[in-house]
Amino acid sequence: MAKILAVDDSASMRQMVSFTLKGAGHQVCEASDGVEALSLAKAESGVDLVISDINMPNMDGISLIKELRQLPEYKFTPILMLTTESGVDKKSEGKAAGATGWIVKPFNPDQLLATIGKVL
Amino acid sequence: MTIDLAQFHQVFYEESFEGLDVMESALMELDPDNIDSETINAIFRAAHSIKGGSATFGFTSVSEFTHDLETILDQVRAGTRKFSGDDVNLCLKSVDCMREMLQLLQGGDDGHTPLSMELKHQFARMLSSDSDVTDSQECAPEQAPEQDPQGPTLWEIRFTPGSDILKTGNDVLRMLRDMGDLGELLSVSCTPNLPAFNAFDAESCYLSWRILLESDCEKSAIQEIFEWVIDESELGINETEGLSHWKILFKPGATILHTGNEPLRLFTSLAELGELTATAFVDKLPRLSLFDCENCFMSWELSLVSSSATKESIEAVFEWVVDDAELVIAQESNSKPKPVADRVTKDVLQEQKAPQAQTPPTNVAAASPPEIPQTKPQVAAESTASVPTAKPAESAPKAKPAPAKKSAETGSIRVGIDKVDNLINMVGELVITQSMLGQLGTDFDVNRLPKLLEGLSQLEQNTRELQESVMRIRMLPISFAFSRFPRMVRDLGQALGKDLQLEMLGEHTELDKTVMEKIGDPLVHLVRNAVDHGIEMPADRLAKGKPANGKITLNAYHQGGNVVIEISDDGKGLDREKIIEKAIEKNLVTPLECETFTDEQAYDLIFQPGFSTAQAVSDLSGRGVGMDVVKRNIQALNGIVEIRSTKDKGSTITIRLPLTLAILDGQLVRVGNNTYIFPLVSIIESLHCRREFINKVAGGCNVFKLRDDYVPIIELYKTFTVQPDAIDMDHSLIVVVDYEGGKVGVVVDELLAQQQVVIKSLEQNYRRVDGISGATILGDGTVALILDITGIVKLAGDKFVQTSARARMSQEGLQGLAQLAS
Repeated sequence: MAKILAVDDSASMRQMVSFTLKGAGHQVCEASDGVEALSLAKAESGVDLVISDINMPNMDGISLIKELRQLPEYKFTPILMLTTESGVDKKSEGKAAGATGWIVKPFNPDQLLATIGKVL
Repeated sequence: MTIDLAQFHQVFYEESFEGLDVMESALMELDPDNIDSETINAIFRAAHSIKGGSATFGFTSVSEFTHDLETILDQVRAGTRKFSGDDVNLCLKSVDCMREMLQLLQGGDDGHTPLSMELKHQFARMLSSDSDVTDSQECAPEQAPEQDPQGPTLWEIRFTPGSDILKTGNDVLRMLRDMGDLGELLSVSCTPNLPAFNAFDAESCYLSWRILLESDCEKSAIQEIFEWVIDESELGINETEGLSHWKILFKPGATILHTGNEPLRLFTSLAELGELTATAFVDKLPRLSLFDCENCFMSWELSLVSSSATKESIEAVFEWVVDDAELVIAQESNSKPKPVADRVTKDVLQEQKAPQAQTPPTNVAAASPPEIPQTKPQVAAESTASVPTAKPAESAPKAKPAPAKKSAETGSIRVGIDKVDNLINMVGELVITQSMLGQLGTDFDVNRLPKLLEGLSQLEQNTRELQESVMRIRMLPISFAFSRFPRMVRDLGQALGKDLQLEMLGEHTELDKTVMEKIGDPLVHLVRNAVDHGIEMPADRLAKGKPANGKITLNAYHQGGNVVIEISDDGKGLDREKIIEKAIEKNLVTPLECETFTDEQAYDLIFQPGFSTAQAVSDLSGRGVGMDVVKRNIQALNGIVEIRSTKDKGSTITIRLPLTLAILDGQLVRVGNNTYIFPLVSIIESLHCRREFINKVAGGCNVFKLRDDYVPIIELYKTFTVQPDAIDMDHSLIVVVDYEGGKVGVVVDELLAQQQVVIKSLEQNYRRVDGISGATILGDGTVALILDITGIVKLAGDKFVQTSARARMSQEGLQGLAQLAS
């Protein structure tokens, strides 16, 4: 069981990710944008994985990754970006910011679990 | 793991519709010549979310549609595409289209519409016209369908990750583990590429790997494992067919070191031929006292997997020492070296996790395992069937779009958390009061009566506050109803060639959700009319010395217990003469009646049923189309509608509505033994009835002389056939209420309290009753009926309507009428 921080501005997406992860026995905390995620990340200890959308209001996913990598406790934590197939540039931008990998939207619960299996 | 994605559909729909609203209003704000990045970002984000969600939940029609739109928006956002006013229109159309598609999906349809097809083609044209824009579709991973039908393939994988791999949270161990899932991981080696110790950076990765994987997987499956790091790393994946496995037993003579030969060097040379693993045996080590550090007591068993090594080339390595050593070189044809993935990868993990403590791992296991090695375990038993053949993710079952349930419109409401908190606080208070009263009740004596009364008054306050809090939950800002107008006014303006400006005030004014839902259509009607008939063409406006752009103002505010909504325009105003002309033509009024009409009375004519038909009104400055319906709808909400207008200055329509349909501010009245309730909002005044002020009108109903006015009266006891206190009406009261802009007097026996009543639907609990809009239960448990003014007027019959119409006539006319009657 891992503690996972799921960040997405879309409530349905967040619900789906969270539900899937919880169903697989993980502990999930949710944030609806980068700002919220960052403060949650600071408040929560022992987050094993961060899954974040890229396009979000207030603070986007790329900035979030940059911020998280600045924090000692998130230096090596796997961070997965949720991207779309048109996000090629975003992928490299995300990687440059320190993202571990990406989950390509659309995805179904099985794909999600398979992908996070790569880092957990 | 199977998850029913349908459970997220409702949230997806709600949020998508919200997203569309955001897109719409942001598009309206967008100035194509000076694109504001925050606005375009908001539009893009909304489109992006809808696309992601629809794709995830299997609504391909919407996701495909939105994909193109998103691409266009992304280009605008990135500044690579110019956006024109037409493009904004196209996007707005797309928003409509998506809304329609989503609604269809909600109803179980596939969501394709003729409009969506047409728009898709337009998008395609837009996107293909600029060929420099590369298709954003990611190229499909390189296919390597060279799967050997004969059996598993041996893959040789050379992997040199970028030194920053750890900083992105990637971990080579996991990749190795994943590869282990694909098949048999034959060999893992770590080659030293370490810098000098003082240049060592603990956060960098200096290791690289050569991996042999026996698997029937495809090349893409291996590539996928490295997908996230492939850009920064060197990766070579080769199929190595003629790979040979060599097993070498090497027992050097004790004096090997004396010749300057060193097993480690030999092994390094050997490793150049292929993958080498070494196991050292220390069984010949003497006791410490006999130990001679210049002699060699160790022996090795070496495994070499190579595509190029031959027995000769291996022997060549040992050429100098072969005379002084025992050397057995054997090719293993069938058996494979024991998979060492687990053990080795674990070591690698430790080295990775604690890179500071890392000793350069060589490809030669110089350190010897303490245990006596057993003979090479046979791996023949490990049939390929037992090899886990984890399929790559793409073969995972595709999410089948769950059949959408037939438009299961679950009326939900989003409530601010503060409202809920408040409610919980109230309930807490109530519980405290209840326990206090309960305590009083168990052990009551008369002395504690004041305490009881105090408790009851507290209970009353709690109840009222609780009620208010609950009501507040159903309250939504009127912006929900207003939000459609910017778009509507814009589209109408474009269609009619009018320059329009819409101002909305008091959007935060809150209104009950049910009232909001019902007021939407009448508002649309009124705004449409204001644009259509009120505002003149720009040229006409300029000719009148007005600015070319017409202004529509929507204003909402609270007044008393009501919500007032005003729709104003600065157009040409209502044309009294034409309205009257039309009304006479339609036989709604007689020319004689009209002569003395006030402006208000004249304007009121447009609310008459049958005042206009669409064609008749097209050349009319009035607002005839369906205004009777508007009025009826507003009255059904216990509301009132009024018109003010000034020629060439514009018109204002004022709607006055109760805040909620669940609770009513009512005036209780008594007729005989029955209690009725008037909506307080409709009461103008109440006064003592005096016999001498009542005139009978022949063929009509009675009128009451109210100061300088005559109002038709309705005797409620007749309407509902109940026994009143007195028939002569001398002791009765008259409640003067508003009816269709005029006045009607209702005769009752007594005025009781004014109070808020909770409205219970008669239709749901009993059946529809004319003249009654609902019921409530009073404090003493009796049922009181809530009067529907329009209904009781109708019950009073046609003669009343005629009288009522006549009663609107001028004072002289009425007086004449009264004299005639008496």
